[in-house]
This record gives sequence, C-alpha cells and structure tokens, in this order.
Amino acid sequence: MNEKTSSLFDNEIQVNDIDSLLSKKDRGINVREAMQSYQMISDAIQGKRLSKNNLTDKIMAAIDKEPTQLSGFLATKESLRQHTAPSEYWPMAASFAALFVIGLTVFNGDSIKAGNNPILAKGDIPEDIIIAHHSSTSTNMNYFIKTKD
Amino acid sequence: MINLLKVVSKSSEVYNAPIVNSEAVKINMEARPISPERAIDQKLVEKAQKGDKQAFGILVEKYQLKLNRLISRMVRDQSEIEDIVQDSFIKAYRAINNFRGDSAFYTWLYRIGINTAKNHLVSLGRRPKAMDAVDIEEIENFQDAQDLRSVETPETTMMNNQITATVNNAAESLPDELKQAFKLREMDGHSYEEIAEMMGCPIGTVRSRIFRARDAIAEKLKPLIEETNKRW
Repeated sequence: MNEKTSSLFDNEIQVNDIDSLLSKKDRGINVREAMQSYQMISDAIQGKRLSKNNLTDKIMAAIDKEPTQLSGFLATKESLRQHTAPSEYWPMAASFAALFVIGLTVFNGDSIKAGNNPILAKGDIPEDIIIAHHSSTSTNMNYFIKTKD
Repeated sequence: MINLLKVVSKSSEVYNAPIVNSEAVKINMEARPISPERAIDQKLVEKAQKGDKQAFGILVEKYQLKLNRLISRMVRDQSEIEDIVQDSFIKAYRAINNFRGDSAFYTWLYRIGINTAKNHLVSLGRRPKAMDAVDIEEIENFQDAQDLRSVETPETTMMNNQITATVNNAAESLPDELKQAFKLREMDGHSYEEIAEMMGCPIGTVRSRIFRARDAIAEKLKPLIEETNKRW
C-alpha cells in the first residue's frame, strides 16, 4: 500500500490504483499520515523550512461534520434544464396527435355511413317513446344514446 | 532568471506563431492530454463526488500547505490564515459537485481560497491586498513559495535543524541504488520514467526504490517526529 502512497505523493500513481489504495475504510488516514511524513522528508532534503502547520486533521474533522456530498442525488442545473426544456420532438408529436384525431373522426363518420347507423335502431322502438324522448333530450347525441338502449 | 527566460521564450513563441484558423486551434486544445497530476486529482474529485470523504482528505493533504502559503501573501496573522484555509476547503467540499473538471482542481481551489481571503479582509474592514494581479497563470505556476509565516522560536529552529540533519544522514546511509533514485526524484525533480531511463531499469523498480528510500528515512525520523509533535 505504501508504495502506492509514495507514487501518489509523486503524482506517479496509476489512476486505477487509487480505488484499491482507498478501498478500505479508514485507510485514507494512513495514506494521509504517510504523505505528511513524505512531505517532511521532501522539505528537509530540499532545504526548505519545515512546517508545523499541518491542518489536514483539523480540516477533516470539520469536513466529517458536513453532510456527505452525493452528486447522484442532486439535480444539477444541466439535468434540470434537460428535463424542463421543451423537446425538439414536441411539434412533431403534436402534429401526429392532430392527424390521429382527424383520422379517427373521419373513420367514425365512414363507419356510420357503412351500416352501423344508429337510426336503424329506431325501427324496434315504438313511435310514442321516440317522440317522448325528442322532447326531453337536448341534442341528437343524447337522443342516440338513450334510444339505443 | 529562469522566469525571465520563460517569459522571453513565451514571447518569441507568440511572435513566431503561424496564423492558423481558430477551429484548428480549438481542436488542438481539445486534443491536448491532461497532466498525470490533473488526472489523479480528477479521479479523487470523482470519488469525493460519490461520497468518499477519504478521497477528499487526500486532496486536502496535497494542497493545504500550498494554499496556506498562497493565503499568507494576503494575510499576515497565522491563525487567520489557518481559518481561511479551513473555510476554503469546507466551501470546496460543499461545492464539489459543481466542479466539472474544466480547470485543474487546484486552480479551482485556489480561486476559492483567494475569494475567501478577500471576503475575510473586507469583513474586518481591511482593504484586501491587490490580489487581482494573481492571474490564473500565476496561480497555476504557484509552487512552494518560502513566505509561509510562522512564529520561529529558538526551539522550533532547533527542531527544524535536527529533522533536516536526520533526513540528510539517513539519505546518505541508503544503499546506492535507493539513494540515487531518491535524489533524482527529490532533488532533481525527475519523473519515474526519466529515472528509469537514467538508471536503466523498469519504472516499477524505480517506484519500489523510491518508496524503500522514503520508508527507511521515515523510520529513522519517527522518534524525532513524535518528539516534535509533543513540542510543537
């Protein structure tokens, strides 16, 4: 593990190795401690002034109090835009829907002409009942529905 | 001197640059490979975005000292600097899902740090030092400047000297192949690939030698660090 940490410190680690380096819980603490040690060695060998100001532990204690940031659960501006913006296919879909409604209307008209004519039902119903219904119905459609039964 | 040469070199590149169409430049920019450091940081950021706080901790470890040194150019008081650095990392963590990798992670982090420092100074009624001059190129090239402010006492100076002496002695006592690989890396800043070519061995061997050198030095340094932690 420490060989990978040493490579990470030098920015020479294989990107795929990062997953295995941090695969176990709390391993990050060991990695950070090793990196602190390597930093001190590096500064000393290069004659730099050593720093006692390692804030990582303090910062991580504050970060641990923060809620975990999960990108998968947050709607990004981009995803929101994609979900709410009108689709380029909407006009085409609306045209198809309109054509479907017109086609259905025409088809129903044709089927009435072809023989499913509700007026044919009239022959089985006594005339006085039909006249009574004429006075109580407001539209032809109501008349048709009521007389068919 | 080196910086001056770099500037001259850049200028000559600009003056000698052939006229090309912008589309070709754009394609060229997109094809430019990202540095290994940026690729590693990007991976750590992606892990942090998936909820891995350990990955974010590695980023903190990598950049807290550099950020500390950058902020020390704007703020004098060390305790204030530490607060600003901490706030900057917390802000970065809260906004980590907004980081899309358009710039290097540390460029993004340093911008947060500079803005946090400016806001801090304004809140105290102090005028921020003209850090607008710190343009993006300067931030990206910002290395370990030696202007970290810390209160030097005779005791800390002595500890510094002891640690430096221990590290140097431990490095000198390493077997030759470890010492050579370690010094080529630490003192000359060569990549593993370059060291492998120079030493005529595989990169894996270089990786192993550098680690073993560090491990041996760290082992000798351990008692001193424990002592240092007690005193500092």
